[in-house]
Amino acid sequence: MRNSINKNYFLKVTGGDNIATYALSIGFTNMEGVLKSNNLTRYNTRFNAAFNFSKRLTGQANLAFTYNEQDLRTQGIDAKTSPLFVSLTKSPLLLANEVNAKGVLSPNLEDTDIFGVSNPTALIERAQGTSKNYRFAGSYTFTYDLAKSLKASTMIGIFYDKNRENIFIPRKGVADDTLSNAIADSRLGTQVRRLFSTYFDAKLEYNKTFSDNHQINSRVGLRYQKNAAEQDYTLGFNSATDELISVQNGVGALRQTGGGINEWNWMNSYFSTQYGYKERFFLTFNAAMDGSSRFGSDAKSGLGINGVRYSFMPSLGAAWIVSSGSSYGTSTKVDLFKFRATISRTGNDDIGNYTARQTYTSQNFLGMQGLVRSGVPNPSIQWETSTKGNFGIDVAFWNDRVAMSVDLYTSKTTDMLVYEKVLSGSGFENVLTNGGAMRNSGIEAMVNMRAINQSALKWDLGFNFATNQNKILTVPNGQFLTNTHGATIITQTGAAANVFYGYKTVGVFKTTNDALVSGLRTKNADGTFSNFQGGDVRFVDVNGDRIIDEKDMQQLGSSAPRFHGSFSSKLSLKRFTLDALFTFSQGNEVFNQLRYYLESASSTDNQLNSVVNRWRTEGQVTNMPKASFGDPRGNNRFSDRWIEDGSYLRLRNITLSYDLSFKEKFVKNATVYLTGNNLLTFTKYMGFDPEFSAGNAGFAQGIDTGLDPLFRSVTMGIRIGL
Amino acid sequence: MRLGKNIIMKRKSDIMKIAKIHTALLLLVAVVFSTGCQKIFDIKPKDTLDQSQMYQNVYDADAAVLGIYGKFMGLADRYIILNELRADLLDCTQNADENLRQISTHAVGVDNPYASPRPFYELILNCNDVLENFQKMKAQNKMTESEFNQRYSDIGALRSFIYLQLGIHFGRVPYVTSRIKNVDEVKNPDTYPVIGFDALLDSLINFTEKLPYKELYPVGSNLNITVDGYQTQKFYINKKVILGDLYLWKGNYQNAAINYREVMETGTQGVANGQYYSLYKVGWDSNGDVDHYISYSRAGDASTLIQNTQWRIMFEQPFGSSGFDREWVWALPFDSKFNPENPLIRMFSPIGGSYTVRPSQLVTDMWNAETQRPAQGGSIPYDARGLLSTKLIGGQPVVMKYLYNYLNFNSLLPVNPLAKTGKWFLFRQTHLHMRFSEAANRSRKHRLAWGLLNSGIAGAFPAPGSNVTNFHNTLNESFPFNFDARNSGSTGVPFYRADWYRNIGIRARANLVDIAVPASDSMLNIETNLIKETALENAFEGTRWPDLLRIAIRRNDPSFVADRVFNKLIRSGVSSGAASTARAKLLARDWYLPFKW
Repeated sequence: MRNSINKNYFLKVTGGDNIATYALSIGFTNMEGVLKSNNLTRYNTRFNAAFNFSKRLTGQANLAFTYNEQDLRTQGIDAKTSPLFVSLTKSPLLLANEVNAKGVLSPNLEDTDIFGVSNPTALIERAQGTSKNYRFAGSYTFTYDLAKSLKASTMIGIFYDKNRENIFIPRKGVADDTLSNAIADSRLGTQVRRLFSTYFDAKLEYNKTFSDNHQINSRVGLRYQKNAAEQDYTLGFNSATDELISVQNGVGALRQTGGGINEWNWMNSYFSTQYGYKERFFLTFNAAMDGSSRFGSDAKSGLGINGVRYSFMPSLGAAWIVSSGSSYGTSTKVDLFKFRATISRTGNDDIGNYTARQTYTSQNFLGMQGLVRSGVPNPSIQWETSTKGNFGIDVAFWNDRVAMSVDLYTSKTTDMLVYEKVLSGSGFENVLTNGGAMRNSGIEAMVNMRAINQSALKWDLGFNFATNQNKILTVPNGQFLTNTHGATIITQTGAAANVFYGYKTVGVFKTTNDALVSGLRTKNADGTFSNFQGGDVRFVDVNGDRIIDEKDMQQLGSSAPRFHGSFSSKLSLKRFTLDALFTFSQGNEVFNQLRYYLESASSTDNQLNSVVNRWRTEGQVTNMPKASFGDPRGNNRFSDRWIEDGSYLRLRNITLSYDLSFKEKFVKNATVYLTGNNLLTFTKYMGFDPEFSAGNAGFAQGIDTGLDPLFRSVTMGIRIGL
Repeated sequence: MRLGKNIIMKRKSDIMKIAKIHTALLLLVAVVFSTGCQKIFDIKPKDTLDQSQMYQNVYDADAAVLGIYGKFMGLADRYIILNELRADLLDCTQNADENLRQISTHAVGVDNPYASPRPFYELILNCNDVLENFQKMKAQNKMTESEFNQRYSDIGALRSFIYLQLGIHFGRVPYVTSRIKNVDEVKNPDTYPVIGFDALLDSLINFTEKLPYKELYPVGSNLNITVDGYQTQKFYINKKVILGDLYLWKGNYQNAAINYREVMETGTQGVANGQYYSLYKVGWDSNGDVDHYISYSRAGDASTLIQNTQWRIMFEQPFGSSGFDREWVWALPFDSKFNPENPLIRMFSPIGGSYTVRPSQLVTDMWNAETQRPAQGGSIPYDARGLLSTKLIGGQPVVMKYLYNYLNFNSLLPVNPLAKTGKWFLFRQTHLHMRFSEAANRSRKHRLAWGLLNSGIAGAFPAPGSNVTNFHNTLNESFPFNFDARNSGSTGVPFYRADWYRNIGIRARANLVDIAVPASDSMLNIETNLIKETALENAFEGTRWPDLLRIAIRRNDPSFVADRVFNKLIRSGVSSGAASTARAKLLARDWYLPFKW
């Protein structure tokens, strides 16, 4: 870990005349990570132009190109190649460099140690991991005014994203991997991923106000998107020396290649209309029909047209501004009083590209390639449907100095995608079906207020708050367990999603006699039972059979917070401005997987200081169980020992800025600023950082795998407008 | 009032206008959708094969067959554990987990992964898919009649083999013959008609007997080739063997014997050479690499047991070698260059594996109770096959049959610890002879059965003089029991070198003395000895539990299996309570695994 420097440059140019206008922007960012090897460089350019071909025909072009180059090492839990993790588990007595018999330090890096643990310095300095990303997005829009209130427009666009990654793990200083038929010392790899999308959107818009009181705004259109993604990778092993780092230098017989191709099409036709009466009553109706290559031909809901199933997603909204109208005169202090209500249905097509199809995949037989079935198709696979009701109130008063809004919502997701267990006679473990349902309901509230409003001194305060309650309504067989990142997560009808499921503990047995008196036993791998002993963890025996096994697992809390939000303050005095933003989260449980590895005391790995306090003698009172190689009693099973409260309050951002004034015409304005990020965090959480995510999947939320943490940063800068 | 009316009029016309515009817009949407969007949404995957692209020609059919066998390889460890560890020759080591111990002590929990029928059904489903699509291909002339016959019969016979395994271990099982097209069929209980073991045998016999082709893939077929150094012919199931097995289980001894006999005669064609006389005939060849005797460099000197060739070499020989071909009817290779990784080294080997199973004390005792043929005035008092089937490595008894391609037989060290090459043995000529004898014995051909077991046909019908015309044969019997093993020697008159003249008998080949049969009870005695001999000869090769169970069912005598399992458990040091529980369970005919739905 180290201090690092970030650089950020940005330039924007605009111009044009009454025929064409343009805007061009160029940016450059360089961020160095807290680990020496990690950094990110980004270049981006953007060009927008608008053309007036004629009075009626206009065009608009948008082009954007981004290039990212990133240097990375393995993150999180990886005993061989993650520098951060290895530096925590490696014995602190060992040096990074070789030392000769006389104690002279060599500039050469040390190889793996006697426990076979990698050298983290070698991982940082000798290993390589680069990711280069190119992204291009371009679109062109034509708009034609057919009549005064009728407009037609089409947009065509392309999107291209390419990512090239290379890795190299040297043999010296890194623990070997074992392949099925060889020992892998150095590891090399390359991967290319591409995504190419074309899209098209055509619509007709109609806008009209009738007799001053009736406003109508309608739109009908068709969107189409075609996507193709491809991924190819090669892994090589055992290049002749650590100087040969590209993948073709690996031993030919060990080379592995693979990849995937995914294509999907999506079409959406939509219709929306808004009707306003006297700017007091508003009605909105939207309807959309989606077709996708992912949907099965026998989907149970939606509409079938010409052999294809389309989802039908309508929504209806109404709003009433009570305050605007003659009955609500200026006599009241209320500036705005508005009711809103919406009922809507939306869909989600993230169901895999070919789930509805019967496919055959390759199966080797020696070196011959055969073909076998890959699973069972589900031709009735369809989108997940979410029906949401929302009711909101907006209020403003004190001459608009205070604005508040509150939203209450409840949504029900049906046809939720789940893996459903099936009979063993089918030969399948499970199939993907739309067999689940879930409810989400909650409140979101927001207050913004200008507390002081004088010409020299202004103070704005803001507060945001959200809470959400989640409940699984149906899953097949009532419940299922998911094991991921060392945690067990239960999904159970009637409970919230993403609830940790494991053992509860009540400290550590003080003496062996205590343990024997309790009568608690655990099953060994060979099926026999052993009593717990002094220094073992005392698990809660839920069913009272004196055997600690999976029947004693219980819910250990959810990774979703009870509520979360932020508050902000902006104080300006003359030319100085002080901005601050705090965020908070309350009631979310976290599985600290990193601490699990650093407190389990069951191997030769280096441990946290807290392990010094472990049970060592009969009668010792402590919360830290004894060290036991291989953990024969299962003291480290997934339990509340590793679950922590992830609540926090954090000063995410604070900025002090000063506006300079210029008399010259050349410079329009300039600001000098000083920003601090993540300067203060109040939390009881013991890991690096209470804010993290082990992955995108819902199950991975709330599991801290020891990724490189967010860090404090201080930025000084100047913004100049020319 | 007038003003109000005007407003209403105006609003009406507005609404009309709006309605007109909306109707027009909706019409537009309808036009767009009615013009076929089907094509847009019909995207075939590019890294797997869509159903519509599969089963187009005979090469697809070959790929389907290879896929099935590739998947079948995944059942190897399960096959050996269920068929051996449940019986009395294989035992658990200290390293065995609870699941293996449950299998060994017949206390199997419903969640025991070895007792899950799912992997069997995964393969069955794939077979069903292949069978149904092959029929479609034939109907659409995408395969010729003979291409269809060969491939369809192969997969059909393999499916029967898997179902027989399911029947042996689970008793009542769902007999799924549908290819389960979609999720609705998966969930439909009609897909899974449950039938008992006996009815299952009827269904399997009926299906397998009707298979249009019962030979091996002919030379020149795309599936009978040499690939990656392996001759593939022995990879595929022998359809007549499985049919013989089905009849033997059913108790139709005549048909069982017919099918086994036809396999025994596989070599009886073409030039009368060594292969003609000894392929699947348990015949001598004057070549230790080929005839696989137990022999000594100095007869009678136990320390000179030949290991670098003879009986042991059959487990090490490469596919396609003549010694391998004469012995093995069905075997599959594990090669470290290809998936799957060899699971048998993990099971059996203390070097490079986790050594979870070992030979039982009982099988060691059985080998030690045998006596070899006298030589130099004495007899060696044990069966030398025990010394070659197992070895002590670091003081621990190890099943060696599956390890001879991995560990050197002499140094007991791996040539390359990560090159976990080996073979999955399924069937060989001794199985064939023992089962034929079992059927013959039940068909009252006791002496023939006794001969094949002991010193061969000629040994059972010896000639008193040099004229062997009326001896050395059973030609007075009708097929399949009519053997001609007449051998006049070089001086006898008239001269005979009959097809079976080299047949030596299983025990003679293993250098063991003949078993004497009491005249009073020849049938049961011979049958018991046949089963015992299969244990001594074919220990750990995955047939012990079926052999015990078949006899227990046939004789309606559960003690036949219960006592043997009890003896294994007692001698392996399992508590007598657990051993008695297992015995009582088996005595109550509770010999099937729980079927986990």
